[in-house]
Amino acid sequence: MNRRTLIVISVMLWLAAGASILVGEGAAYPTKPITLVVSFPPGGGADTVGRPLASVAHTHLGQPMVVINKAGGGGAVGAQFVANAKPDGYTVLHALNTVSELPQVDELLGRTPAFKKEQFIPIGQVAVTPFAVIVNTESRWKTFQEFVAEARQKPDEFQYASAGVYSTTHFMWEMILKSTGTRVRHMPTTGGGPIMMAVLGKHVDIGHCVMPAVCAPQLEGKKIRLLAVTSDKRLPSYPDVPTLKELGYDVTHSIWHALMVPAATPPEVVAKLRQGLKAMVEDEAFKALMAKLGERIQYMSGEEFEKFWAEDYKKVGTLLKQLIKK
Amino acid sequence: MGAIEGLLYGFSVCLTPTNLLYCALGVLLGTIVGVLPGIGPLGGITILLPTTFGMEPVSAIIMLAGIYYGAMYGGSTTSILVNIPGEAASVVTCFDGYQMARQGRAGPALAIAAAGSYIAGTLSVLGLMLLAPALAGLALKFGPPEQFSLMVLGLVILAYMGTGSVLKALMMIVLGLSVAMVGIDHLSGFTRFTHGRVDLGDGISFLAVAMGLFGVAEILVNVEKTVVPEVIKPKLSKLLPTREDWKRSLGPIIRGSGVGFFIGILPGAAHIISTFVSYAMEKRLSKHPEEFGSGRIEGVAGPEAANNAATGGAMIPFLALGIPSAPATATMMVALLIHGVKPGPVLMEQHPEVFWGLIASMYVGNLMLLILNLPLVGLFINLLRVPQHFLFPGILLVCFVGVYSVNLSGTDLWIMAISGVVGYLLRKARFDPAPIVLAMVLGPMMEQALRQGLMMSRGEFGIFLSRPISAAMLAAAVLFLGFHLVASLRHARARRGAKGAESVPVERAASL
Amino acid sequence: MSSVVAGMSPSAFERVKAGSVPGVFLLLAAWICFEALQVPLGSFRMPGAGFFPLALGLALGMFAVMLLGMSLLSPASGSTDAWPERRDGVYLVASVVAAVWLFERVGFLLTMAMFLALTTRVLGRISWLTAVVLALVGSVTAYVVFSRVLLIALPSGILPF
Repeated sequence: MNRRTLIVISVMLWLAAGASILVGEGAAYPTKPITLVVSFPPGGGADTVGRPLASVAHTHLGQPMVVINKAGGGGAVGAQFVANAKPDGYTVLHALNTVSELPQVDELLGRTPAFKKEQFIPIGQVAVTPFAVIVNTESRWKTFQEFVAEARQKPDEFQYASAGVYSTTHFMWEMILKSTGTRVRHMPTTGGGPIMMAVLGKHVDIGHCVMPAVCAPQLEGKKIRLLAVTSDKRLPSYPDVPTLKELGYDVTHSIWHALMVPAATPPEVVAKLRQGLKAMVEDEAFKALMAKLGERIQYMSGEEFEKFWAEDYKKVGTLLKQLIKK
Repeated sequence: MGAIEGLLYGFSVCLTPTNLLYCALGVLLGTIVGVLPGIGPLGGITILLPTTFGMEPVSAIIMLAGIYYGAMYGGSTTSILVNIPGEAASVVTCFDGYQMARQGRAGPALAIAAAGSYIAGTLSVLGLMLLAPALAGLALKFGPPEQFSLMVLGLVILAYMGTGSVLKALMMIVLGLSVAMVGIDHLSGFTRFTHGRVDLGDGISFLAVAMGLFGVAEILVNVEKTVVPEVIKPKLSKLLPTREDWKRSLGPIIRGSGVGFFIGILPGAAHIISTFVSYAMEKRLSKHPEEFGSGRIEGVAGPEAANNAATGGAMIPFLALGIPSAPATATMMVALLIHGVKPGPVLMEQHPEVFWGLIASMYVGNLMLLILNLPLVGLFINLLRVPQHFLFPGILLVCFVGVYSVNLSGTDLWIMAISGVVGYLLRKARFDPAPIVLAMVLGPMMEQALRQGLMMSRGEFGIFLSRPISAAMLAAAVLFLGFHLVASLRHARARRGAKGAESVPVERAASL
Repeated sequence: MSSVVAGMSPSAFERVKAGSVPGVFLLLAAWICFEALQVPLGSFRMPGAGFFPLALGLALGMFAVMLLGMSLLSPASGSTDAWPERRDGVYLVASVVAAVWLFERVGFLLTMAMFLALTTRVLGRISWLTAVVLALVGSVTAYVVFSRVLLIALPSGILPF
């Protein structure tokens, strides 16, 4: 056969192939795996809620949810990534309070914000996790008051670890220090996993971890000691650990975990995700997993969360102004 | 239970037909995924995660670990065949591996890489078994000052490792470290070097730069030869390594395993350092150091063993402490959690079958990798027979897909193109661009370690010297520098003596 | 460009040529330092975002000066390899740049088809016919393998799927 025939045949084959591929398309969202972005390194508090959640996604959304970690900047890197991702519903952010705090911090510091609140639409809240103040088992402080007493006598002697400068846990500690009247040096890391390593390795004197998922394994292994918890009331599974409030320090801090997508995501996709999330949160396997980890599921639908978030944002803003202007 | 009993128990769990099948499947998938750049073990593991739900925890973990190992091995295949590293750990393999391929010895290179990885993996599993609890303690002692000093040592070794000028290598290293600074600063949240471009917020993609510097630039360099160089086609009869090859590789493999294992334990994924420590060590110990860089098999055996052993070492913090240091281990942790197993200090007591089953499966997995990959070597070799004008476009296409698949970002493709041109220009100017990518990987950790170290010490640089482990490593770096300075001074004097009073040759002067 | 055209003596010209490479690095180092100063430097007690980059910029500058010194002192061997005579490299780079630019706009299939056709033709002495046929087959195969089997989200660009 001559050249022309060859060309014609190849082009037709190509078009046919293309057309056959076309036929396979047209299914509704989702048609491929969804990425869940966790903005902290593996092993921290966000991971321990996000990964179990992602693991039940395929039953309710039809596609698996793949978790990736994009750590840094106290949560800024991951949030910025999702804010600018294609709004097709395939990139979801596992958001924490940091999403309320960071844009306002950027504003107060006069630097270009990494992302803005308006760039996100919430899908729903999944859980709320408080912290525990921890020390290495070999530390000489057996109670929180002992720590406070010594820290008051020796300002700037000790060091605590946080998840990053201007991160949510940095603020929590600043509030604690203000409330206890102590001065303790700050060492930023990138998240809960590195904080735990720093406490275990005694590179810092005191730290915190998310209760109970991140704390529990180390507690069981007798590597750390809990000095206090940051919730409103004592935790049922740890009745002998006092809250900071009862010790006389008015600091309560917990982080909420919510899923968010870029604001321009089409409403049908958002609706589908919201439906899916509701089902995932009620999934027996998920509940069992969270129970094993000792975490409380606290679901709030997307619509309710939008209202909650607007207020939370304002509250956080006022708090930040006080802290940063000091 | 004791180590031997535990291991036997582990084998009994692992060597069931079902689990063996899962292991093989994992290893196969991992190798495929590892050969394709960009689509790393993470993608493979997470896509397969849902399918493991119906499985026993042990089976699930065995398959996932198989994927992890397979992917690590797959990365070295592309390094040897086409000088493109699949991931940072395979960069050093490119140096001598690719040269061997050009000499028609791709078969032995691939085979030794596989065998070396197997032996190293086995040795590291042994180490894991016997030393895990003790070593977990070591990992914890490694705080920021120690991490920083380790990186300094690693970078000093890197600078001296190459064949060219040390000054130029240092410049490449600093360049690589600087590239790593682009994006949002992890500790403080300030954005650097991006001029408002949000797609650079997460930094410059390692893979994009690597594909550009190694893939695109290499092709550009090849293209300029007016006479197509005789890439010696590999003969089928020479697929396997000779006895000489095995003899020369055994030492490097064992030494590489040791180095890799201990460095792998240390937190912060400084695992790639083990590859260059091993390379430098072999170069130093060899009777023909000047041949390194042009196809010495020791230069493949050592680093390959080191990087595999590091994988085993990296499991220690994860298994013993329950803190995963990398996304791949984090995914494994979730897999365990889903199946009701909590990794951590009590894993060994509460779920011995998982702990020992996993360890036994690593051993079996490594063996499977070897069995699987030896025949595949023949298959891969045939790729090299494809004529250049078909092979290179194909390689470039795979680079495009690989780089794009990481972040689905067009910017990454631009970075690849720019790196390709820059890499080509650097080579024309007689710089070796390889240290750039290695320094890029180490950059963020090095900066973080330095800053945290200074925070710990309230600004005193003395902390790097007052802590014993850190001081030891800095001392090693200084000693290393010292040896080389003395050696090159002696060399320069000898050459000057031979050539008479002529000016010191430019090459020597430039090599400091 | 020869030394005559540049209007200097051959040895001076050699020195300028030799100095150009370190010169580029020196400029780069200056830029790095400049950028580093845009963000807070912090203090030694609490190093900020600009701390390490500034150190790197200064180090690079120092190395560049050293290199400059050495190449000015002994420029005999020249610091760069010769440029190639054939223009193939340029065409290749142009193809890559075009492909990168078109990748997300026009879509994977069409871009890669164009790319494969161009590059195989540039690199080898094959006819347009072979190149085009190969390109079509190659790009479709790649699409099927990567987008369908491995589920990588390749851009569709202007095509409807």
